[in-house]
Amino acid sequence: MSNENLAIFQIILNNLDIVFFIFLFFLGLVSGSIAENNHYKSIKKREEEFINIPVVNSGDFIDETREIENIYFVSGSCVVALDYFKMFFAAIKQIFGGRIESYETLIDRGRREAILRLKEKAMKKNVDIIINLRIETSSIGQNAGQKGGIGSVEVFAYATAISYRK
Amino acid sequence: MKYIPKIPDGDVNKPKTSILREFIFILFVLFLFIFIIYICLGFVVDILVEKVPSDIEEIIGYSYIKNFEGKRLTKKEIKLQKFLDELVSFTDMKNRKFKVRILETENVNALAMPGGNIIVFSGLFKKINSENQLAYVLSHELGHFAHRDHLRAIGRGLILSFISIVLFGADNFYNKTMSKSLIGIQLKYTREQEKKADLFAVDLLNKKYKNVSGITDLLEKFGKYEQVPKSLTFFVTHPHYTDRIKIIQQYIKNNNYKITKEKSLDPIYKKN
Repeated sequence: MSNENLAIFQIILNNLDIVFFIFLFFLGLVSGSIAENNHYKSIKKREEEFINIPVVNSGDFIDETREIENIYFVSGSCVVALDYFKMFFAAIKQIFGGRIESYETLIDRGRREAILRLKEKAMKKNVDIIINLRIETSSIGQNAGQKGGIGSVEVFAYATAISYRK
Repeated sequence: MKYIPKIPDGDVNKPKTSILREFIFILFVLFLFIFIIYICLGFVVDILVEKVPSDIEEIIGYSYIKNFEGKRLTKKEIKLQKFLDELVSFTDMKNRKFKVRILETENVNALAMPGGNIIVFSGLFKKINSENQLAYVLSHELGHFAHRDHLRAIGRGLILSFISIVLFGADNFYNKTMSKSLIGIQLKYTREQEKKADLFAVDLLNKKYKNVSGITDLLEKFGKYEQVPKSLTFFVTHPHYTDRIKIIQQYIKNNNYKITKEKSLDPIYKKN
């Protein structure tokens, strides 16, 4: 190896953490956006599929002329991971304040996915209406920017499902 | 009430603009912000550095030379100390006390530490062929003391850590990454100092020997030892050696300094 290459190698070695960070940053940027786009496509497709099950938070929608056959507790949960790009973006945005767009899509995806899973479960039970939908969100692992690295968000959706006697 | 199934229009929770574009913009603003603070606080450091009393400098300096504490001076070090004192007598710093110690390592370097301490790496003696060249290395370090660069460097280092800790909190991954990238700017500052120290050394050599022989040869030798490509000089403290040689040659020419015969080096320095 020539002296010049050796010097380049040495500089890279001395700054290995920066090199590694840049790699993770771009990995997050590319893989994160691919995953996000695919997830949104799948969410939209399934939302159309399950559109016919009403999810309401008012008892007014219950058809009182029909007899209720079963009442179920239905739930769906989803965990979405952060990537280095989202995390770094959030860390810098926190200095200036304002919307953290990278987290907004993350939470949006999580909530919609959890509701879809809840609906999927309800579909299997042939329910007619879902009432009282509640959503809980919690973070798993470390928060962004804290020592220990990457975190993820868990979204849990639960509701009451009703099926009428046919 | 009747339920009409319908998908709402658009993804309201999805940002309309590109996150990457916004990221680039805020990163730019952040760097601008840090840069302005760094420059402002840098001026404060420059003013304060001139006012640091030498006894406080001694206290700061003590932590750097703790490793040498209790170790007796070797013959080589005694000889080198005498030579250094002789060089100091040609400067305006006659009233200050400078101490030189030799660190046994293969590395080729010399460091100016606070408190008038100079540390010479033993690997350096393998590269030096004449007394003039040794004088140049020591004079270069004395140049740092004359310009108080060692204190400036510490002061600016502290500013960088301060900015980074305020922004990202202590013991943070970003903190490390951020300060490392900011050090790029910090090194640029020291490259300016290195240039000044080089010229100080040229002047000092001329005062002592009435000629400035051996300097460019020594730098060429260093250049071969540590050949960092010119494009990568942003990452190192000293300017690229070809630039250093050019600047020194120009300076020698402008001042009509002579280049004659070099004085031979005392064989004690070559002994292990």
